[in-house]
Amino acid sequence: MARWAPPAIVSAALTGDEVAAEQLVAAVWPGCFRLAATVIGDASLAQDAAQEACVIVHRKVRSVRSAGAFDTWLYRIVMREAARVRRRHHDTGQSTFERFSGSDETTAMDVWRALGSLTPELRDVIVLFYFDDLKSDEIAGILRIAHATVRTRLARARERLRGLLGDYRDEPLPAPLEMKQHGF
Amino acid sequence: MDSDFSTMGRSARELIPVPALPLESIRSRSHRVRARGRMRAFVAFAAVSLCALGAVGGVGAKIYHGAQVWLSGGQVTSMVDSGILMRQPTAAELRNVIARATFPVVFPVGVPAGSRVYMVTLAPADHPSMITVSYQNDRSGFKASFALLDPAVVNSGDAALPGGSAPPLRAAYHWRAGGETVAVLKNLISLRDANRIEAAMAEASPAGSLAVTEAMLPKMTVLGATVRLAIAERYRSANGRSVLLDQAYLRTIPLLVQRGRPLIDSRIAYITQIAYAHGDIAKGVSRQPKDIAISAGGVRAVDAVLRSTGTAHDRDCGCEILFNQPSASVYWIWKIPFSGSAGVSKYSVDARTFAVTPAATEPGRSTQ
Repeated sequence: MARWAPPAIVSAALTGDEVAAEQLVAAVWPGCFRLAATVIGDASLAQDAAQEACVIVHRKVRSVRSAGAFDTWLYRIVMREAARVRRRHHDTGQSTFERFSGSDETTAMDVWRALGSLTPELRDVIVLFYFDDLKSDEIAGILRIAHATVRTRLARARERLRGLLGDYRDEPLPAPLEMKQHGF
Repeated sequence: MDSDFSTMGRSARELIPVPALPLESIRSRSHRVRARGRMRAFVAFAAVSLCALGAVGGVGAKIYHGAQVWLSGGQVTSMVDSGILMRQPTAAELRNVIARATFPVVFPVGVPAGSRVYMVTLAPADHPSMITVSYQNDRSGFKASFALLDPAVVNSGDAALPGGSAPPLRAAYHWRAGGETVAVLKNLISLRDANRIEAAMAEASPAGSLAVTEAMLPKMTVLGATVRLAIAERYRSANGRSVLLDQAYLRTIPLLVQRGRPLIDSRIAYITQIAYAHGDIAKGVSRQPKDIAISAGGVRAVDAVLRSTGTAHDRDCGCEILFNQPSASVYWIWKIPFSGSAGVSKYSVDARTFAVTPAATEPGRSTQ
């Protein structure tokens, strides 16, 4: 799983040290903002979500069970705050991802267009799986959904992205979808 | 797709410009929310146990003076301007509460055997006319809060009901017991339990009910959401003040040692000037506790035991700690593991050198 901040800072913040908590917020801020931006698709709303997440980190980091549990805890907070911001602004799935890419960044433009074509639910799992390198069971824990749901959403998202992103290597689909494709 | 899309995605994300960190805003919002959280904890608890806080009518924030309760048609609501929330109160603290109460307090009797009192709130703070006592029973699942009310602050009848932004009325059972009115929300207790407790309270005296209640209180200072209280009580020393620390409190030990600070007893929260507007808390003043639970030297002793038993500063010990100082020259510390297979270990720590000496290890089955 990705690391949000150096373990030493996380451990220090867990002791209730106010200075360490602020160092931790500073360390996680870019990651929080970029993750929120990637799943929301709007820099201004992402800033709201990231700031909410950082207020929670500052206030509640002492309650985290251990330094090892911090990463999952923060992923959960950022994704929850992003979902809350999206709900508040009635995300219809037609986000404004193009704003992120510079005019000369064709690759980035493709990525944002691809993400913008997905529903928020599919986008969440795709981002965590591909961008953050999380395993499907970790994603299930973060989003508090069933493992099978994560795998199904991944498969659906891949299907949608297939046309947008062109050539890519096929990989096994979750068993139920694979069976369906073979006429079962 | 996997590697290409991952690489493309990560690269694209790295190109997103990150705005400046609004640290000042985060810091001030965190502190504000934390202070409000303390008040909310009180209000949420008090609301559950009938002592909802608020202000009558008015558009702006308003402080309601004193304490009032409205009972009508099996429904209840209440308002106060200040209160004290006591987590894990001791017998001495409870006696202090009833000494200041405006009515002769009869505590609930007949609650399921094995129940513990985990919280008491009182309002208003100086001379309480509302006392709520909360019970929890892990075995039976019984969990309820009883509001014990001075009849002088209870208003009956529809005409007297508060309006404006007052807390909503909630369904409750209520009865008279001695010189007090008792109320408990219907969603917290079955009718059968309510009838049994009402009948038992009708026979109880203030002194008798206090004796019953004292048996349900912790016999030491309990800091945090401990899960090893029953075991700790077996090892509690008769000399000196015993303090039980949960994992969250243990995590603060290294920082306290570094700063040479004592451990503060934060079980009791004082909240005054509570004002309510638009159905929510508008403001209030919360006072930080200053009582010392464990001296700076005692904190060092706990730290010395954790270090000597291999708990690094960035790790949890998987235990709770029972602390006691029987004399000026020595600290006694019991390490109570969460694992049932490990035994409770007692350590003696020299108050001058902080040298740790293992005193005894009880067999694992004693922790069950």
